[in-house]
Amino acid sequence: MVDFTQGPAPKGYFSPLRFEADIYDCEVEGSIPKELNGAFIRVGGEYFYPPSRPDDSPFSTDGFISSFRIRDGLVDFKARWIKTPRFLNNLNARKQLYGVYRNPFTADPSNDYADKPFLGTVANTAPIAHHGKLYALKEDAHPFEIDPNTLETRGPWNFDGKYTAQTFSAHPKVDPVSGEMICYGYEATGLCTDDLWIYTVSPQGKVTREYKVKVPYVSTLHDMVLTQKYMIFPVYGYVTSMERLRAGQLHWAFDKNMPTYWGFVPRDGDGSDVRWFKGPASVVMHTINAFDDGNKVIVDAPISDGNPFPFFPQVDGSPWSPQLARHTIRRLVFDMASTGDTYQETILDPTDVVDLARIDDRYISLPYKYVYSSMADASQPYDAARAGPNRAVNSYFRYDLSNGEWRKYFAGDVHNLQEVTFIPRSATAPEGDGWLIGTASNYADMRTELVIVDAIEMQELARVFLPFRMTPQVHARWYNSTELPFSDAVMPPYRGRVQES
Amino acid sequence: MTLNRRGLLKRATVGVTASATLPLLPTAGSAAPVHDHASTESTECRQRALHQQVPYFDYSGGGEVYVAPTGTTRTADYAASLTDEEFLRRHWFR
Repeated sequence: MVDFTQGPAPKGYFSPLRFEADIYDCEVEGSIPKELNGAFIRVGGEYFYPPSRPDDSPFSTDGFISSFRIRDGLVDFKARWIKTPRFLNNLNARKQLYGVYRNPFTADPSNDYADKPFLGTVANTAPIAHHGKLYALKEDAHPFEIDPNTLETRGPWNFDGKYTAQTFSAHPKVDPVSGEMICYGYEATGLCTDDLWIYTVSPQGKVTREYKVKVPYVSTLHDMVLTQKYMIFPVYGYVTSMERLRAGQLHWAFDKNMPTYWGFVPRDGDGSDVRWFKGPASVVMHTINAFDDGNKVIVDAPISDGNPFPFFPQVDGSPWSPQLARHTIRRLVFDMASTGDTYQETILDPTDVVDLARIDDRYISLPYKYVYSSMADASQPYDAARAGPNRAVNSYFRYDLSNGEWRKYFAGDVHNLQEVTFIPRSATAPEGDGWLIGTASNYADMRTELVIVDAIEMQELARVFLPFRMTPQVHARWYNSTELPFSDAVMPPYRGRVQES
Repeated sequence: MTLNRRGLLKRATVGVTASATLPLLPTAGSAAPVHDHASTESTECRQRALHQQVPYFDYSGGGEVYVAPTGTTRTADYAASLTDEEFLRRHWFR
């Protein structure tokens, strides 16, 4: 029998939903720009069956993908579970067969997949589109291809057998100059292995290069940055080991004594050319951007000095520190002409920000000006009587790297925003000319709302209302109709009978 | 015996109350003997918490306690909170 009453959220906004959804012609307030023709695609997760242990990480939730298909100012919504082997096997058994976060040794005894840990993936982290295909990603397995119109799962993809790492990160980068996708997998040859394998995929979807790198220690390599010369990978304080997994623990624990490493792999070299720089302990779960500047490389990222995730324990048993989990926007400068292994790190602004920062993706790997993310703006009103006492991320912001200017958009006094995405007005529009898009959890009315905001004026243009709350995403992206083969049909073709007389 | 909407909700409430008194146990018989929290700390030291719109059990005491907004209780709890007279006044259909 399914029982969520003992879980972390048996009631309220985050209680289990467990359904799939189609809403044709959504309710819209305001005016959606007519230029928008594409889809805002979200990937996140929630448990279809309760986890095997109460201390599991919420990152073990079953993958769920949803899409706001927008064209001609109209919106259709669709949401589906991602049909991983894990999801299907659990459903067939009508219970949770899998263990805690990325630890197959804690699975049901009937389900031994320790030699193939990728079979435990939940594909719940991020979408990406490349070479006309849509994928749902999680860093412990291959990407799962998804039909962009029906959102049905087509299964894992290994690029015609040319992608040989067992894993594929949730944050590959698409080079706007070459159109190539730079993707990678860590723990590439099995659980706790120190192999980082990196691949270049052509705009046609073919693997063209492979780089094999050994990392200083096995850690989370959740995100990377790209320049026109280098592929750059941060390694930081989360640690794991086979002993840890065999002892039944979650995959990661945080060790505040481990240094941060940044690995630089020349795009025109190979894995043996990697160069590591070393700095103080920090966490760089997500990055912003990087670019070459003569012999220097500039890397921007929202960085914290400690463990940002309270559900991953400290190895020394110390309590989780909200203070050390704060993220600030920082700039790192690496001197590639030096013979040293250090770098310069500067906090550009002391403001607390959510680390899910984005840019105009046409400037990935290139000099750029604007950073977008979200924040809890305490100067704005919050209706705790209706929305509950928990803190809310109520504003998007644009931060101008050239002069430090902040511009903000406030979503509402009962709303909690999720990751923002920037959409350029056109392929040739100047940097920053376009829209911001993202979903907000309306805690008071128990529904999800999609907001579309002018990215220069930071004024709301339109809001789309779902008549229910939807699983919060982890990451989301906008893809226009030139990037994915979207159908114009509102719903699947009707094949039933029709009365003729 | 006929079962109307009110009766169905009352039954659901009884079922929920019974299950809520059960000890917190894994739903699959799969827990390893040693892990980070559950084997070393009692269930009393954990609390329902929220981090970036993700609910979880916090064991450290440092997490943000999650308090669901009022007005979002489950249907069975809502039904149990009303007298029969008030229920019928609010919900005239049967």
